[in-house]
Amino acid sequence: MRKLLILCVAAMLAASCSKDTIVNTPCNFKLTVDWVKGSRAQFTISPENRNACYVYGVMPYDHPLYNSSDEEIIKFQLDWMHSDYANARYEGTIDGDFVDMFCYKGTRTVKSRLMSPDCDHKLLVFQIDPESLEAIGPLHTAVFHTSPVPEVDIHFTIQCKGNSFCILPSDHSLTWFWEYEASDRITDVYGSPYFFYYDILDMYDEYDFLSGILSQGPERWTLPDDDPSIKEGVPYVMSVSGCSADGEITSSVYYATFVYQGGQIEFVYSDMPLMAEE
Amino acid sequence: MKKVLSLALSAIVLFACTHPDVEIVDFDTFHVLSVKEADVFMSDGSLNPDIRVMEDSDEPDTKLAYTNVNAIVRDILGEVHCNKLIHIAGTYKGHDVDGSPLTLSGKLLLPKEGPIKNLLIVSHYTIGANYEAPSETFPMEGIWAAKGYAVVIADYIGFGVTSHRIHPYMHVSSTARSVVDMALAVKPYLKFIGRQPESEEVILAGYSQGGSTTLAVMDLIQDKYEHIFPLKKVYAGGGPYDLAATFDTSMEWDETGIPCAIPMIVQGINAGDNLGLQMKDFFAPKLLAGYDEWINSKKYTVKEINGLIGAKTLHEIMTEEGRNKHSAETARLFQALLGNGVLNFNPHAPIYLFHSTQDRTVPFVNALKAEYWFKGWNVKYDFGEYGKHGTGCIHFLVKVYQDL
Repeated sequence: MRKLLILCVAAMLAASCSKDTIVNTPCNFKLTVDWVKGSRAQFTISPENRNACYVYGVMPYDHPLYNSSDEEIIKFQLDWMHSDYANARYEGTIDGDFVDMFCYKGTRTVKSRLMSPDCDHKLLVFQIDPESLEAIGPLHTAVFHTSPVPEVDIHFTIQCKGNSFCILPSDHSLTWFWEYEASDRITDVYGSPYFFYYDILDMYDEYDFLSGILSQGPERWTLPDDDPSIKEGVPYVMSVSGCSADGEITSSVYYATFVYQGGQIEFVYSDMPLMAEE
Repeated sequence: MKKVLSLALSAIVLFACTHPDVEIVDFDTFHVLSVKEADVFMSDGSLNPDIRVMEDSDEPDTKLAYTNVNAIVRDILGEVHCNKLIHIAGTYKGHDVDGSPLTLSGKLLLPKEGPIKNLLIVSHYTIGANYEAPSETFPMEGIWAAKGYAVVIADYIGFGVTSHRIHPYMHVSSTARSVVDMALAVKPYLKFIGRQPESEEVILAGYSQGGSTTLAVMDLIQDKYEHIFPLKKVYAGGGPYDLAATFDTSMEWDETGIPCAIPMIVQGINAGDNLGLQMKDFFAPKLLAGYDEWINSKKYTVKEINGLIGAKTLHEIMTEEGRNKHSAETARLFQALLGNGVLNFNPHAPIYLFHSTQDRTVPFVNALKAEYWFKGWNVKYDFGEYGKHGTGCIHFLVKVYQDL
């Protein structure tokens, strides 16, 4: 009896839930390119039917299929996704469904990153039948051109004394950015902290927070006053580069590793010249 | 008619119940320290009115207007709870925010009989009063134990035996560590009492603050403890996964559905990240005068604290400087909020991610951010019109219960 009643309660709850509607007829999409920078762009994708399932991608001008027919592009994208999904299933890393892994429903604001500056790209959107997992309807596209990112001539010297260091840029008129993080938090599969650094910059830009932390001219840092969360004996990787106001890296990225121990900062590696401060 | 059904259900459930006991143990030494009566039921057999699930702070939710959401959960609670669960509260050696040793507390719930399938590591949602701490009461997520799981729910730092301390609210690393520390302590204890789970794999779950903490626990386990706790599945619902986006959205709305979260986050992140911030730079005069008593006495529930704050618009709660993320002090806080997001990792186990699109307490943008980060990974997204934050919690509890 109690089981029956609990099922009633569950049914009451279920009745109040929204239902997933399967859409397998084509609908229109509105694509908006919100903004474009040198290596990043943001788009808003709005399907006419909010339950329509769709995927998106960005194709650069130098992709072999850039000027191919819509059908060829859809086939290429879909084949890649099915192959990726099948491999993941085979390796046992995925047990969810294709739609959850690749598809979106409803209006989404999405970003593309790590694009080449100053060249054409094409935003690609097409609808998927969530049951057959085949494409339905046409390919929806929006072409945009990434901004140029002028490379600047800036390099850095580090002066260090006791518990503080000073980063000296070669050109005091240029803006630059630096960041450090415990080395075990930097998990770039390529063994370089570049992508960690790019992600941090991208994050600050995304949250409209970059302007207050871009540097210009020399910058001094004293531990632990400037960072009470610093941990003693832990190696930290520091990354430094020229950076534009909109968060694009404008020079080579330079790296150093330091350890704070017993009230002293010791640099154990640096590809920037190190100077003892008088 | 539905009200009648609900009342009838409660009556039937109560009729069948007796008073279970709570064992108080030291999970490190396995010693039983004392036994007390569980406060799920009152001496007359009625359900303790303090046992409740998260409540929306304002008007009733229209989606479930025909009944009280707590009534539903009480019904479920009564059904799964009566005589069927073992309650064990206890202490264990955990870590403080700076990594130093600290004795913490929490609750373990077991099915009274039968095999235990897995350890289910739960991160609890936001509470205000210490009597709501898992070790002190019946945490609503404990209903999942009835499905054959050992449910482990740590008190976060600042609750239970550490209730005299500031709770480092939304401080990712220390909160996740408390949760994992308790699971590490409970694992050998379960073996000692002969209730070792059949599988080594563990399940993680949590809603709201617990949803966010659950993802942080997943990241921590993948990083350091996967050999001890291989992950089977993760359930996260209604979580503020992206604190910075939550800050921005709340500022844009000039409103928060959970006013007490403002002082809790500012002082919590300040304590967790040792930022050295001054609360006067953030809190409007009324909040500044009262927050220490309202938040840190641990006497008041979230709903009561919201009432004491007496405002939902941010310009009434916070200073102008505190609302401006580009001002000097708020910039430091905002940077720490960015650092306490929980989405910057690759999930290697299946995740069920739930969020109500109508949630204005933990804005839906958090779920969209999670989707953006996790697309391409093994994540099942359940986004729908599930009502406000509290009602969403009910749906989440039931959906997880049904899926387990």
